[in-house]
Amino acid sequence: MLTIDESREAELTVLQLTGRLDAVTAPELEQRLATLAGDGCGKMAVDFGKLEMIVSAGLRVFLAFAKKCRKSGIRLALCRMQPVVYEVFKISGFTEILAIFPTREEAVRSLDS
Amino acid sequence: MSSPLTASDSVSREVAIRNGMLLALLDTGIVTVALVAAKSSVLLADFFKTLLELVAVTLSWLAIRRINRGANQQFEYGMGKMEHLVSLFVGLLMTVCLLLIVLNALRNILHPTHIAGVGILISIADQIVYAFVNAFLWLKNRREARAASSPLMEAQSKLFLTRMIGNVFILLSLGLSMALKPYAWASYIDPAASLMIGASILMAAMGLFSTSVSNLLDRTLEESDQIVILRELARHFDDYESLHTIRSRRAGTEVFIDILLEFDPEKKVGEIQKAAADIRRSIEQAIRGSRVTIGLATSASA
Repeated sequence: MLTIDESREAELTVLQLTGRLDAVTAPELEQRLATLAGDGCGKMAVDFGKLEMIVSAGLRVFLAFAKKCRKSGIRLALCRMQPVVYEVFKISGFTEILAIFPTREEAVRSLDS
Repeated sequence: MSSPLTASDSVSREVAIRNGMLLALLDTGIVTVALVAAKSSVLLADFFKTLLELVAVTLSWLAIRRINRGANQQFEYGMGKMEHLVSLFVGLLMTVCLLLIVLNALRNILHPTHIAGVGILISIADQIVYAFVNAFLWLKNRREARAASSPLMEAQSKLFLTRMIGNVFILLSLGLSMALKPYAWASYIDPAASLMIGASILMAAMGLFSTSVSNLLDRTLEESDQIVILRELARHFDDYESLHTIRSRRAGTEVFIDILLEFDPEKKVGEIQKAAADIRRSIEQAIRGSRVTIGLATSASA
């Protein structure tokens, strides 16, 4: 089960993920991210604070979306990962290609800078 | 990753298997004569065991012969699957032989009789000769395996050791049955020993079934390997433009991975080919037994 809460403020979109990002829920997130990119979102912060678990299917969504962001000029920042989720990002080498911050404020600040 | 077999490796493997087949054919002939000329459960079990070895080695020889002769630019689709189907067939044959051995042993336990006939002497001579041949091949292969650090040769040497132990076991069983003939209970040695040979066939059949069935059924790639694919794609993040799809499956020891990537249209064909080859190579090196295909996508494929 995954819940995606969305809030918008001007150019910035913040997504709050709650639950588990697995093979069942990953397509839902993929669809939502594609819609947001299509709507011309310029900056996006994804808050992982309430995400309990992520598997490869979820990582794949972020890898493909990171590419899409680079191509279409969307600025992306991820934040508030729980240690277990951060560990998965780290062993996958995603910490090298994605901007990850401990707090939402820092993530938003990085998008504004 | 294992190094590919060269043409000369394949030919020498074919010759080695053919020699093994001829040896097994000769052994089957002798064991058949011994069985007909004697009344013994052990000899019946030995006959089935030898026959199964002959069938297995003949099928291996036919398969490798077909692969070597089939090098006519036509890709042999499904050869791997055929090999596993053949193993399943051998496994089924083993089960039938096992049933016959058990039924015969039970009959001889219920109605015990002493083993007799000239076939016993033929079999004793056969076991002595083959015990020496297998001991020689075991030592030779073990020496070569140690010199070359080859797991294949190591497995081969263990096979000959197992065969030698089998020969000694049958020899002991026949020898004890003959030597202890004056005792009534000695008539149970023969069926009991045949049941032990049956147990060894059962273990081999179970191993074949589990390996072949697992190899014939495709299943999802383990999560750890899926993470490895993503890690390698992240490592090559700047080499491609978009990630479209990743499809992967495991079939036995083989892993098939298809990745659809989009590259910068401004890049030259040579650059794209090199980038795709680098990604493919790094994943294949990271995941043992994997075969990676990088498909080229356009923005329209998204």
